[in-house]
Amino acid sequence: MRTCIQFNMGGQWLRGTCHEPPETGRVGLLFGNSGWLPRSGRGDLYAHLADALALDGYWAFRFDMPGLGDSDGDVPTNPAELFNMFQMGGHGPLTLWLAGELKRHYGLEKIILAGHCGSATSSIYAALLDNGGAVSGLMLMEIGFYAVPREALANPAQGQPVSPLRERFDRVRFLARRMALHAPGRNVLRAIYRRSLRATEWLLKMDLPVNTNTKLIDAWRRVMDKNLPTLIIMARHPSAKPMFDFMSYLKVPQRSGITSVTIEGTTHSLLEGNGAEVTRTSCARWLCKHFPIHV
Amino acid sequence: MINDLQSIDARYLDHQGEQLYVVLHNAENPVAQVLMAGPFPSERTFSYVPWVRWGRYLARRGVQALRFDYRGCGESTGAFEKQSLAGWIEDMKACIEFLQSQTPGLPLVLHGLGFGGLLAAKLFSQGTGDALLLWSPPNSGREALRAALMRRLAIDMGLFPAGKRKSWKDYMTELEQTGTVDVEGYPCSQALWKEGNLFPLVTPPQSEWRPWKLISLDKSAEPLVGGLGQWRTANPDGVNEDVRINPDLSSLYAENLQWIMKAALPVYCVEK
Repeated sequence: MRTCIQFNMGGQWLRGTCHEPPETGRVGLLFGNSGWLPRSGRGDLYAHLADALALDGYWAFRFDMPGLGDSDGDVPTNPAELFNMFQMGGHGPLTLWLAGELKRHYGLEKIILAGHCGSATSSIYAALLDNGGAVSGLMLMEIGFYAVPREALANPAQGQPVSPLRERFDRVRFLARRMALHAPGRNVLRAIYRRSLRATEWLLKMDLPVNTNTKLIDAWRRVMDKNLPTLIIMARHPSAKPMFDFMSYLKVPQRSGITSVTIEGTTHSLLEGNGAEVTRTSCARWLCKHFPIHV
Repeated sequence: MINDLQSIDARYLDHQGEQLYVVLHNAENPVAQVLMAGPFPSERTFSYVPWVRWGRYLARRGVQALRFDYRGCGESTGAFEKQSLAGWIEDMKACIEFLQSQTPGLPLVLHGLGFGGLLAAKLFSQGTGDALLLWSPPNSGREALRAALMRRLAIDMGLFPAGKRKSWKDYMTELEQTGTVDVEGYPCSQALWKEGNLFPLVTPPQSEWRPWKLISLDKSAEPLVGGLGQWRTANPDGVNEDVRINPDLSSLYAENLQWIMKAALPVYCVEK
């Protein structure tokens, strides 16, 4: 059963949906928006996932962040501004506040922050800010560690802080990227751009791609030191261009407490192939193992 | 004036064994009410921000507006593969009943975006509503479903190399054999497809005395228009730098509000 819920934060109403379990459990899941999509997610992935997990006995809550979905507020015209807000942790405090409110309001013992893409990022920042044990676990889908280029923002100062030298380098890189994406013959330019980027990284002996969100990497490391049970779901499609493997870099497979699932044959949205089904079963199994309802 | 931050009422209506999600944008001293029928489910996520803003815009200017999710989609419950166009028209009727219970006696404008226009026009042809406002409706249910599946094919082009991806014919065969075809996470059933084939856009005849208007939205209204915009950003290797999430559509909104007022006010005065 679904019910509409809302919380007022600083005069703004945040609206969401509660998926009530048939039997009263004491563990809740909180999902935020995937990018600028409403809280049901693309292809209603979140809504179906929350329905399924509620049937397993978990309270599932899906919320729209300010300006998204049915919540009050506004969002910028340019998606880069919104992505940057996710990437720099703009929704972290709000996510943590919501987790606390839900725990209090529903008398929950534990709450797990869950999300796809942008809300996975917000979940990490929220867990980092959590000093009172409000967050008990993380369920992260398709988390991205790339930063929005500062040059794409109206106010570059709101982007990732970088050194003056790096700032100049990034400006050149951004112009080259725009050319590669928009100029005639862009496929050739794109290939040249990618290769020159890899060459720069190699020449400068960089262990991470130049557009890595270092703030998020740092937050991730500090959150992992808290030893929260964490599930990571990533997509892999044979046609997708190989990107930097952040999971290996962050030694995710070797860390105890982290369960890593890679879904073959699906894409970022987790809708293609059996992505949605594997996501559901992976979340259910992981929850059953780490947060059993019936002990 | 009601504080816009507190003027939204989101709730579920019990409807034919499912929960129908409705969002009412309350207006102070409203002079008209609008039922907003949204686009095809696979378009819903991308047009949501400007669609919500349009609802807020109307409410702030004296027009009660009701948005809803079709059964089997978004916040409403139900299995998508079991839904039908006729069933979604029933959803609209339930919404109208709710809307009229909130503000009885106000003139009712049926308003549809894309696929929603198709359903709104059908309902209008059956005598419901005092005015009809259509934004880029497809010519038929078949065209709406076709457009949705075309986007599925476009995604496949990004995913699979030539020769390894499904063609239109393959999808049609799959539909025949398995009974459904997946469009962006929504399993479209054979029954829905067949129903779509027999579901033309019913534009009012010349003898229609109730006001109605059809607008074809162009690229300037990109997030509202299916097939033009944001769906491509969700595709592999998509270029999303020129996509706008929340563009300034105030001139579109103002023009349509003016039309709604003009269409509804004579009815409002007679009712009063």
